Amino acid sequence: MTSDLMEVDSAPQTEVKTDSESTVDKVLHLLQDVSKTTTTLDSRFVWKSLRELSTLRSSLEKEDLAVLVNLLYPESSTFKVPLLKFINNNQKSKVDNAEEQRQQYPAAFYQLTGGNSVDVSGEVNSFLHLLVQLYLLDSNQVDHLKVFNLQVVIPKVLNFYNNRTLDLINAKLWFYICRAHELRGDAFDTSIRSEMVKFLKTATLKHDNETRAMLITFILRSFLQTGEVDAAADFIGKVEFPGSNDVSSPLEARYYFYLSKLSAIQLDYSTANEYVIAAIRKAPNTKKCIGFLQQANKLHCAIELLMGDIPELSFFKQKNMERSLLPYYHLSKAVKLGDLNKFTSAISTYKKELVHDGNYQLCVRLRSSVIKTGIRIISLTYKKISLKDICLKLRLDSEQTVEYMVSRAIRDGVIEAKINHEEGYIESSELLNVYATQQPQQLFDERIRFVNQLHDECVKAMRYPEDGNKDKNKSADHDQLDEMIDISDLDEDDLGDFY
Amino acid sequence: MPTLLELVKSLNTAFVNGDNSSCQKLLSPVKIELIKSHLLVPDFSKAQENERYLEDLNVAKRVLEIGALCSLRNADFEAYENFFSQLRVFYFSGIPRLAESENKSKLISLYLLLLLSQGDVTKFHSELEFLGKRLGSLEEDAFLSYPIKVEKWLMEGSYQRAWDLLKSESKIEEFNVFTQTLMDAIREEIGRNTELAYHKLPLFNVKALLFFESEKDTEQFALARGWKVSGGCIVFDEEEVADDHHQTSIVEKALDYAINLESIV
Repeated sequence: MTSDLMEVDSAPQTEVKTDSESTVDKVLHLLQDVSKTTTTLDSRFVWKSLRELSTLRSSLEKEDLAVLVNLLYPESSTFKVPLLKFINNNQKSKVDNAEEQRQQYPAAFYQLTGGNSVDVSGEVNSFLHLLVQLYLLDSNQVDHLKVFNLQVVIPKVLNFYNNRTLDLINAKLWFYICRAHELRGDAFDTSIRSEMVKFLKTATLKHDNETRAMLITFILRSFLQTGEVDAAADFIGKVEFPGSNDVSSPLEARYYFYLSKLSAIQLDYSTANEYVIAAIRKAPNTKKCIGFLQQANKLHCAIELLMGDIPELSFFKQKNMERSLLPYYHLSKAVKLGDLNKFTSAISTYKKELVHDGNYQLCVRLRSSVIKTGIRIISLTYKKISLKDICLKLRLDSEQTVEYMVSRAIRDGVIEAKINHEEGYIESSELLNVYATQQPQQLFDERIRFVNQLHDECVKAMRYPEDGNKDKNKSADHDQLDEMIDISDLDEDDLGDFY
Repeated sequence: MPTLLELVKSLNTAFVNGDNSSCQKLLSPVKIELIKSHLLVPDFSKAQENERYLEDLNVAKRVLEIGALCSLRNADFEAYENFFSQLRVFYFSGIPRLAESENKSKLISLYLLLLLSQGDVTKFHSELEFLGKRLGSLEEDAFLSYPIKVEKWLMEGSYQRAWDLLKSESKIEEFNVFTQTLMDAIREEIGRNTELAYHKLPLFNVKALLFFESEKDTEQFALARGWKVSGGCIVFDEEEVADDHHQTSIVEKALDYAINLESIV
C-alpha cells in the first residue's frame, strides 16, 4: 500500500483515471479498517485509519468523493443528498452497477435503521463526512464548509449517533468545524462556542475523552482569542481535562500551550513556564507541527524573559526557528544589555509581529525587567557604586528614581545589596556561596523527581498484549498496531493546520 | 406613576446639575422601568432589525453611564463595578452605533484605575488583554493611557513619576477620586521596598522618600509598619530565617529515592 501511494504522489497529473480509481480504492480500504471497529468495538482501528488519512488527504478530489458517496450510500439514505450537494452541487454522476458493488461490501458497512431499511453504519458515515470536510477545507471553500458544518455535521451526524466507537472521529469533526469558523474570521462571533459547550456536556457524560479534550482546548482557544481571560480562567477551574492516558499527546500539547498563555497573562509566570515546557515536550517533532512549535517557543521566550532569565543563544538557533524567533532575539538582547532605548526600539519595530503572535501585552511588561537586569549587571560588576553613576549608566531621569528602582530590585531579590542614603551609594552584600545553601539539593531533588515521574509515565503508557487464546492472524495485526502506538502522534497535521 | 421618558429626562437634568443624591434616588425606578421594557439586558438580534429599539438601547446606555459616574462621585465602587459590567455588554456588542460613546474610554479607564487601586493586577492585565483585542492602540488613547502609565511606573519602580502624574490633578475630575487610594498604594510599595533595602535611615530622608509633608506623619507611618524609631533614625532589622526541618527533609528524600529505585529494579 505504501509503494502504491508513492507512485500516486509522484505522478498525479499523468494518470488521472487510474489515480482517481486508486484513491477511491484506498478510501474503501480505510473504511474496511474503520468498519472493523464496528464489529470488534476496538477503537484502535479507527485510530489507525485516521493516521493514514493524513497521507491520503492531498489526493482527495471532487470526483472521488462523489463516486464514493454514490457507491456507498443506498438510494434511500437520508445522508446521500446533502453530502452530494456539498461535494458537487448534486450534479449527476451516477455510478453504474452501484447496487451490485454495494452487495460486495462487508456487512459491517451497513446497519439496519428503523423501518427495515438499510443505511451506512455510523462509523463509515462519520468518516465520510470527515472526508468531505477535508476536501472542502483543502479546496478553500471555507464558506461552504461552514454551512456544511452547521447544516449537516452538527445536527445530523454529531447529534445523531451515540456510539462509543465514534469518539475519535467526532473529535476530528469538531476540529474542522472550529477551524472553518476561525478561517471565516468570526473570532468574535461566539455562537459556535455555546454549541461546543453543549456538546462538551454530552461528551463528558459519555466519557468521550478525545472529544472532550478537543472541545475544552477549543473553548479555551476561543476565549483567549476574544481576550476574555477571566472567563477562560473560570472555565478551566470548572472543567477537568482528561488524564494523559486517555487523549492523544498533540491535544495535550495544545491544551498546555493555552494554559501557559492564560497563566502568563495572569502574571503567574512560573506556572506558565511549566506549562509551556510541557507543551513543547508533548508536541510531536515532525515537519507538520513546526508552526505550533514556533509559536510555543515564542511564548516560552517571552515567559523566560519575564521571569528574569535570558534564553541561551542556541535557543534562537534552533532548526526552522531562527527567522520566526528574530523579534524575540532582539528583545532578549535588549533585556540582556539592560538597555532601555534598544528595548523601546525593538518593541516598536516588531510591534506588528508581536501583536500577531498575541504576545504584545506580555512583551510590553518586559520594560521593568530591562531596568532590573541593568541594575543587576551593575551590582555584579561593582562592589560599591554611587546612585548618580547608575543614573548615568541607565539613562534614567533622577537619582531618586534610581533609588526607588534599586530598592525595588532588592525587594524582588534581583540583587543582594544595601543602600546608604546619606552618602548616596549602594553596596553589594557578600556574595553567598551557592553550595552552602540548600539550592543545589533542591535542584537535585527536582531532577530526580522528574526522572522518576518520567519512568512512571512510561510504564503506564506501555501496552501489554492481552493473554492467550487468540488466533495468529489477529495477534500479528495487533503487533503492527502496537508499533504504531509507540510513535503516537495521531493528529500532528492538526497542529500544522493551525499556524 | 411617571413614565420612563420623564424619569430619564429628570435623571439627565439632575446629572448635568451635578445633583448626585437625586440622581441616586432616580436611578432605581429608572432601572426597574428599563427591565420592564427589556432594555437593561439588550437583545442584539432585535437591535439589528429594529431602529426604534436601537435608539431606546442608546438611551439605556446613557442611563447606565450616568449611574456609573454617579456612584463614582459618591465613592461607591461596588456599584460602579456593577454598572460597568452592564455597560460592557453595550460597549462590546459588535453593533457600531451601540458600541460608540463619548464616555466609553473614560469609563473603561476608570474601571482600570479602580482595579489598580484595589491592587488587583491580575485582573488589570486580563482586562488589558481583552481591550487590546478590540480597541487597538491603547497607549495612544487620551483616557486609557492614564491608568496604563500609572501601572507601568508602579511596576518598574518609577514612583516619582507616578506620584507626579497623580499630583498633577488630571483634567478629568473623576480620575481624581482614585488619587488618594493610589497614593496610599504607592507609599505602601515604597515602604515595603525600603525596609529591605536599608540598614537604617534618618527620619528626615524617609519623609522625602515617602512623599510625606511632616515628620510626624512619617513617624506614624513607620510605627504602623512596625519599624523601630530611635534617635531620629529608623532601624530596619533583618529577619533571620529559621531552618530547623532541614536535616529531616534530607533523610526523608533519601528514603523516598530508595523506595523509587527499588520499584524500578
